[in-house]
Amino acid sequence: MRLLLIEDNRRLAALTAEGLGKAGFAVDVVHCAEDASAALAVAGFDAVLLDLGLPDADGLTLLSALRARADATPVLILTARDGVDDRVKGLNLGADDYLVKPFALEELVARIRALLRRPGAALGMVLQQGNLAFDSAARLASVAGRPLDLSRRELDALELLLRRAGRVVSKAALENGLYGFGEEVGSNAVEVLIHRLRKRLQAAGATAGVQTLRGIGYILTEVPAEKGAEAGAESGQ
Amino acid sequence: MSGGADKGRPPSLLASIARWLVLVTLLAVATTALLLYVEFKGTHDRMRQRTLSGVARVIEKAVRGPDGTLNTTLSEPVQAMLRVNAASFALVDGGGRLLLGSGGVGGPLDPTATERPRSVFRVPAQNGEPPLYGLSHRIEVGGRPYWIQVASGEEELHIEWLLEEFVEHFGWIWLPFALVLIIVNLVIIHRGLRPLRRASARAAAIGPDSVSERLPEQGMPREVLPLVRAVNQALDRLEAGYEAQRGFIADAAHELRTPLAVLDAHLALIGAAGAPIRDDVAGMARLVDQLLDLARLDALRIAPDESVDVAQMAVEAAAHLAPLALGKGRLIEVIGDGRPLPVRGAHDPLFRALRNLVENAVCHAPAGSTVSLELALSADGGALLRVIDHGPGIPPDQRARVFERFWQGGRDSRHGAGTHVDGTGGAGLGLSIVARTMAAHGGSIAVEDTSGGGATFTLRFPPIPRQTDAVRTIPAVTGAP
Repeated sequence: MRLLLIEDNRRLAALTAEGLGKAGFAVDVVHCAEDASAALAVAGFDAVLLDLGLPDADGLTLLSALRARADATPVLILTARDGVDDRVKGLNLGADDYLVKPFALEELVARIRALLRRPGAALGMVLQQGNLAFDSAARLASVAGRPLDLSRRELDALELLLRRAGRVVSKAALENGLYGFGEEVGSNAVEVLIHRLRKRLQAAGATAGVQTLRGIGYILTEVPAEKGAEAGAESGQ
Repeated sequence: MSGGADKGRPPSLLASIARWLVLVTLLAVATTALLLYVEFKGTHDRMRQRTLSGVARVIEKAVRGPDGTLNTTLSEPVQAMLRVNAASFALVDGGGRLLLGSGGVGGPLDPTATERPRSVFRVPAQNGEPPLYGLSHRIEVGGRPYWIQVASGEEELHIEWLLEEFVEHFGWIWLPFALVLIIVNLVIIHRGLRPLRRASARAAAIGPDSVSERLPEQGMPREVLPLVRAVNQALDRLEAGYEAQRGFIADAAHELRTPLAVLDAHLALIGAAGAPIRDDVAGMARLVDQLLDLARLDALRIAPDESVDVAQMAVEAAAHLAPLALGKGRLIEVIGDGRPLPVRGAHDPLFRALRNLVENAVCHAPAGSTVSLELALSADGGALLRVIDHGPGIPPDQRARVFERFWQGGRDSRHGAGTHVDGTGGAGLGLSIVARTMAAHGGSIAVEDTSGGGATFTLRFPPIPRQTDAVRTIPAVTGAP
């Protein structure tokens, strides 16, 4: 996975690149918009990490130029600006995600992985959380390499949750993703489905589990192996 | 008129004007009286002289005998006329001898009269006789000069009587005029100062939260307008300085983010050894966020039609903080009936406030416990949001102070040494941000004990006015699972 990091603070750029390198990414670093344009013109990247405050141009200008060329490379904005206006402007111009400085390296890695997991960006990739894996091309789930026997709906739900691993997915979003228009959905269909999925993951000894957050939604997180059962029981009430 | 400069009391414009008006009125009364006196006196003198010269002519006619002879006996009608019109008279020849005189006159009334052809004279009071005012008139009979001297009493009482008359009958007319004048002036000044009082009320309301407020120039008298304009311009300059200061806080907070990111990236590469310091960096990052929140809060203006669904926002904030809570082994939940709870307010500041409040609860909740966001409708129809934790709670004596800036007490007593391990321990700004945001929305925040232990923060929003009910908020996309 090759990334382009556009960041004018050289120390931050070097340290971030080093951290991303350790996480298994190949990172090219540039410090200004001009170098970034040159790099984007000659090489293909799997994702672009873009700082908005560049010395020679605004990062958003670079982003709109990129999208104007119909370049669909996922772009993650890294910025010290966190006004909603900035965020909305960035996302409207075609950014895929937005991370406000100071960010934890782990968060950045997780966001990049999530970007690369998105359909369209990399179809048929393997989604992973803990020892739980899902091959979106083969539509096969496995725990520690052992295949999991899941129904079609359970697989769909698992994929939805894995694509947004570590973030809350609302019940409405799950219903929309799992059931077609006009399909009769029982009021507790999603609850029942998630409950079954959770039981199966626990039974298989997965180190990732689905938590129910009352009134909020569901979240798939990694749970330490010894706490897996406990977390499952806790949220199963 | 410096009577108003009493010690410590500023001079009163009204009192000073009243004093000057009284003085001017008195002056006007005195001047009028004086002018009248002079005028009356002049008229009186002229009339008396005319009377006396008329008498003198009658005498002249009577004493001028036929063929240049002098007649020294006066006919009865002439004597009667003289008795009425003159106090005394005398006929004196060129040598100063008295030829004829009224009763009691033993010599010339004015011994020096023979030196002048015609003159006015005064005889001072003597031997109990009143002073006399007279006229001596030179005639020639048979080629020889004679003087007819006629005199009457000075009649000074006449003038005094006149003044008395004036004061008694006409002078008092000035009194109501003066009173009316003073009252009218006071009323005009009082009314004229009304915009000034309005302006001072407005000025009293200007504070750090309302630096863009200005004194009204509408309806301000031309005389005061320059002062009001100058004050408004001074406020413009102060506001610019204040905005610059606020901008500086926001800029400084922004600028701190990149070095913090550098620091954190560096620590991340060190590995486990850097972990405790990374928590401190996270704490600093949170403080920077809160400084930005505060700087933005100062600039917060809520449009009258801005409306937010508190129920949806509670779900958003809970979803936003769920990963953090789960990472710490705490659960988070939203309890409500799924119906929207619209309030008048701005989404982002309210979201940031709620994020701060829930973050605070998550940090203080013990591992394995649940932080609850409870939605309700208060008796007056306003939205209520309770954030309930089962941590150590806040002692009653500290409850008023938890909403102050940089309040540290709770962090130590509620959390002890755990704060630093958290890395997200309260920087002491979070709750003050919540309180100020609620105040800006016309709402309030209060804290009490959770039954069974812990703290319950209640956010109270004012009921939304009827007419804005039409502004329907988008129903929550996140249904309750």
